[in-house]
Amino acid sequence: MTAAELPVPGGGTGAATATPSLARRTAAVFARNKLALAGTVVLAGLLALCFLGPLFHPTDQVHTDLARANLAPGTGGHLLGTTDLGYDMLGRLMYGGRTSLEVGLAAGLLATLFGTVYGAVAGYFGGWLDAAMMRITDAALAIPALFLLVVVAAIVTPSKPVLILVIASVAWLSPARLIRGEALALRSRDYVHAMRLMGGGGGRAVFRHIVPNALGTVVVNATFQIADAILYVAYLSFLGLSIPPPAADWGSMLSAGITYTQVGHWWLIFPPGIAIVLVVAAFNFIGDGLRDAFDVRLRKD
Amino acid sequence: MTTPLLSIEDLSVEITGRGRTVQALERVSLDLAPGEALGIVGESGCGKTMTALSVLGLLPGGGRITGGRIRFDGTDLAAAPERTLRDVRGHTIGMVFQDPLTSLNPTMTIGAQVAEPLLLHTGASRAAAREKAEDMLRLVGMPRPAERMSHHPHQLSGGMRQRVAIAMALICEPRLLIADEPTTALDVTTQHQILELIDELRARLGMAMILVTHDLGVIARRVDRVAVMYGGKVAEQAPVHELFTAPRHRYTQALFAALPERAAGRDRPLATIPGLPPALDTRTTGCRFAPRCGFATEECQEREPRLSRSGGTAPGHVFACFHPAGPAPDDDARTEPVPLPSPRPAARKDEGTLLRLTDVVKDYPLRAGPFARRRGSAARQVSAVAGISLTVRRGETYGIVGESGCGKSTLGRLVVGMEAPTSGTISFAGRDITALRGRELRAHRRDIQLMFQDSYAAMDPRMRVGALLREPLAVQGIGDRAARRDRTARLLDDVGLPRGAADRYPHEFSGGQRQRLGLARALALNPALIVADEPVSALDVSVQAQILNLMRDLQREKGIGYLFISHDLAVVRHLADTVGVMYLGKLVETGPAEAVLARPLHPYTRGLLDTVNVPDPRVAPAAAPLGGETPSAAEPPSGCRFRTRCPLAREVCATTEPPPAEPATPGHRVACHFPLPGVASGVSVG
Amino acid sequence: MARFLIKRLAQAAVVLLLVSVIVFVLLHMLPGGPARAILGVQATPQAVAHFNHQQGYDRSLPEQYALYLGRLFSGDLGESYKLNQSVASLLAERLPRTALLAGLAIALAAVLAVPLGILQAVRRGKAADHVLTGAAFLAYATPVFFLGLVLVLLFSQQIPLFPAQAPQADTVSGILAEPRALVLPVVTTALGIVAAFSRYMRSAVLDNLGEEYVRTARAKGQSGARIMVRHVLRNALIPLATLLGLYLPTLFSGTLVVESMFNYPGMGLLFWSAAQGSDFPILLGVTLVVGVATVLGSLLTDIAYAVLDPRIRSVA
Repeated sequence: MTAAELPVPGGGTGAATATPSLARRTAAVFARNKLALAGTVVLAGLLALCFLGPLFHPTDQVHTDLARANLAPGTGGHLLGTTDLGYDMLGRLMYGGRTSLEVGLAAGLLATLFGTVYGAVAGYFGGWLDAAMMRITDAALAIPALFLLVVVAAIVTPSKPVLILVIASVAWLSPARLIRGEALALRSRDYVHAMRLMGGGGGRAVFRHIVPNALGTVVVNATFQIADAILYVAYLSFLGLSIPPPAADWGSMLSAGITYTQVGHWWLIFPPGIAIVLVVAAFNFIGDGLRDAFDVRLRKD
Repeated sequence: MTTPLLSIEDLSVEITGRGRTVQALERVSLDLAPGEALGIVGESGCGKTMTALSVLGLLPGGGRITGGRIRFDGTDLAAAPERTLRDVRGHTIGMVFQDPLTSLNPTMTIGAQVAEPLLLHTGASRAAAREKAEDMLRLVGMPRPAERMSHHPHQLSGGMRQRVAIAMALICEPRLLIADEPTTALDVTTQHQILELIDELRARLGMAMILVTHDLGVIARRVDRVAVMYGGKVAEQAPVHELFTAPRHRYTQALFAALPERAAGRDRPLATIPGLPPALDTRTTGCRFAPRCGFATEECQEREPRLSRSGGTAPGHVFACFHPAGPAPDDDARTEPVPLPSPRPAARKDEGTLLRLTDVVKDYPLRAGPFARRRGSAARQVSAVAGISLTVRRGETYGIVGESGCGKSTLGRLVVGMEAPTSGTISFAGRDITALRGRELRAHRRDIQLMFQDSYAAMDPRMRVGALLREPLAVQGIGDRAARRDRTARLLDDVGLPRGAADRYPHEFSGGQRQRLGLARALALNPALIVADEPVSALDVSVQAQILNLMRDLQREKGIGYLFISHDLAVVRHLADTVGVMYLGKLVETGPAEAVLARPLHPYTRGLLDTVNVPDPRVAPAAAPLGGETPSAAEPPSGCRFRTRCPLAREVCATTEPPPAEPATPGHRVACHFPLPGVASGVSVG
Repeated sequence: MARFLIKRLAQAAVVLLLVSVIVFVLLHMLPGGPARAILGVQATPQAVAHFNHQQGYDRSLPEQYALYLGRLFSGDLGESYKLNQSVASLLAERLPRTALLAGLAIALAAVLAVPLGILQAVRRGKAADHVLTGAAFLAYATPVFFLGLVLVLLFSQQIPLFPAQAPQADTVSGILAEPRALVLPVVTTALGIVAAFSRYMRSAVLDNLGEEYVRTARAKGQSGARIMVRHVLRNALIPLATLLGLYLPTLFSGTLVVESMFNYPGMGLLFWSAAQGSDFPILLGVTLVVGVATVLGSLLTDIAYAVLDPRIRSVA
């Protein structure tokens, strides 16, 4: 046998030098990304605030208390003041955040799930089925999401599950288009051809090669979808078409606070506004970090 | 000695990126007299391109000159400010790059791009610059230059784009032309035309030239002196004739020996250089080549050899080696007389037909979709493969040669069953495989495997090598887990990789190692035939030799047949028993390799052989190289498809398609109305 | 080129038809069907039956769709039952105002994004790049209404530079006559898309700077600034046309929010008020028109792209 080229990977003394698995490499690259880490920390903080916060700072978010309305931050034991109806602002931030996060997460994941399946089917089978399925998404995407959402929200009366469905019914379109492109590209990769030439079938192509390789794209897209869904919740609430009071979310809190900005009640709008920005930015940073991590792990470094 | 035009002294360059620093060049010194042509050769990563780019201050991001001088015309370009460099670039030094498509601006017209240097450097008026640009296009052999001025790069063929790039580099009549792999992206016949053009223009304008290339064949007849680079340093520098006849540095010697053209004979393995070029990101002591050198001693590991002359060496011949080859012309590699009586592979005794193609046609519609038809005519189509018949015997290597777009890769895809032929039959071991479906087809797949040009793209990046090699077995349901593991280990042994490689991912391997993995996977199912589509075209010469040897050794051991597809005549010549030459979807000539490549009957085969750049400066250039460009396969010429470029074409060639005939020796078939007499070609490739 | 045009037009026609199907489906999702939606919740069953028969809502769905399509082609989008006006005439009034707002916002976004993107690409990895990247991410994450609110607080209440209410004039020229009142709505709308545009410009310029033709231009002796202007900018700006088409839906969503915030009398405000009052003919009419505008807009940007890019212009 001819001499092999010298610095051969795996030429070492034992199995101890085996390359770490892809999952570990991905995690390692992600952990090196400062913005992505910051996003994770911010997100964890907000989740803790909304879901664990009420345990340490229990408040009444159902009954109005006009006697304690419009208190400035720091007065009467209200760290962030109170609303025009006398709700404790900090407590309401937690309470409203739960709605925003729950609906955003559920709608984002649902949209990703459905969009992925839809896009994968169109992309993998191709041809006329693909053309027909994609024209449908084109048409639905042509109507701006917010308009579609408003119409649907005006037809049905939103509750949490309804809101999740409504947002997911609009948000699945962009992952569908993305995954369709990915499936189309992966289907014609040489390694899929190679497997076919070994005698492998369509099932193996989809489950051993296409799905695992598309997984990164799906996961990254899910984070962006969640961010978008949280924004949609906020927009709908702001336009007055979300879950009716006394329920609350960050968007409706902001909307309710607008009237009082002229009299200087800044604490009614900045906490929910900043919370929205933080959580959406956090998801975007995480998504970006994940994208880099999925990308980089297959390179030599 | 005259004052040099360009003098590079002790040039060092570092490139920083992705958190590491690479010493790309270390104390490189080169001189170039006015009007002289210097070739810089070496394998990928040796620093040849970096040397060329440093002269014009065009190092990539993260690159910087850390020491040395580049004197050009009295100015030190290494220390010059950007303004001075700008005055030199495109004005007194012109540069031509490798890829003529990407190196032209896609949204600017040809005319504007060619005229640009004039406007920058001479203060010519727009009208004058346009006029000069048109003259320049005419000079570089662009047909209908006036019309081409308003075209964009994508409207031109690769060869024409490179002509534009040359026009652009020469429009200010520079004193030095730097050409960085100017023909690497082009087909053999186009390559030849471009090199001839550069030669001609150089003589006309009296400029000096630096020709950077990895191809020893390109450099042999085009330059006066050659510098061989290795690991960021100049290993050897000599007049071209000296270098090709009596290389002194052990690396240069090994590089020549690895060329398939220099192989002692078809039945002898190619000389190889073990290992890989150094990565250059760690400082090493001693000779850079020592780890791969069979002559290295402790001294080579510890001390660094300096460029110097030694006894018996012609003037201007310097090399950096403690244990150089002898000074006498070292011709043994080329003059080795008779090939050893070779043990033919065992399977060859059963010379039964393995694969038979009969009138195979593959057409592709030009545009798919509901709007494909235009002007009421039937949908236009490209006939990629236009009626091919051939036979591959067991254990045989059948080489398919042709330029890009001739349909050779489509042929390979048809044979492995990646695509179905439009008409004709493909039978394997007596069975028509185009009719196979389902279970039978799956079982048949074991017998024919494909080795990809880019094995990396053909491996799922998420799977470890072990899983990749086990996949064919899993797909075919062969063996249990333990048996598959065992088989994987033996496959790795077969292709000369350590067993530990099974735990690695494909991205961790070098190009040559990936081709070994690709071969291992193709072997997993014990196929009777492997279709290899350009399996070594992306590799450096020394690594290419390793893979070719491996393929040949495995063939002898296992009796596999190869359908070997390549554009490289020398490689095909080395490996193939039978050769088929393709032109525009047709086999124009087939027969035993020695007969076809030594005594070609078809004018196209002859043209191909004549245009090959032989790595030997003593070989006289061919008298009539192949002109023109390959016509589009969507509108092939009537009659004989080669007639538009054929020097012998007459009226009958346009009206009647020539049937295959055997005018010279049995088994040597040619499809030509006026076959050549079958005398030895002026140029030998072996 | 002709082939490309025909193909693209056919595609747009199909998508337009599908948009009308979607709106038709929404119409049938309305509580109590179109009759209740149009006659109101108090309508008697007889009136509903009569209406359904008269409008053809008792026929098969394909027939109904054909009728619906026929009405659309004759410009009949129904009657608003709150404003006593035809939806078509309402839209004719409002559409130009929204087009003005959107047009100004696009212009402003482009004027801001192109130089910012170039700056980031040229200063890649330096402080300016990091700061602007961070700002883009934040802008991306900020809901348009929060952004608008902050701008109002800063530039209308803290420093009373601009009014917090948009111009209330009826005509486009009337609106343009109050430029100060236009500033905040236009800036808010523009900032909603400027982040995406500048990110695009940054990566497009970076991609092009890495292209080999830039190295060729340097090898000819071109200076950095002229390479940017003569070579890179053109190649980076042409695809921006397509991006513009892709961002039309985002832009329209932005105008919806901005118009309702600043009380700008455009289509978005009309839509928003209709949503508050469940005025379904208006809701569906606006949805249809916005969908059609998006399809036609992206058709135009695609054609512009094909005209500007020689590779597409001459091949097809």
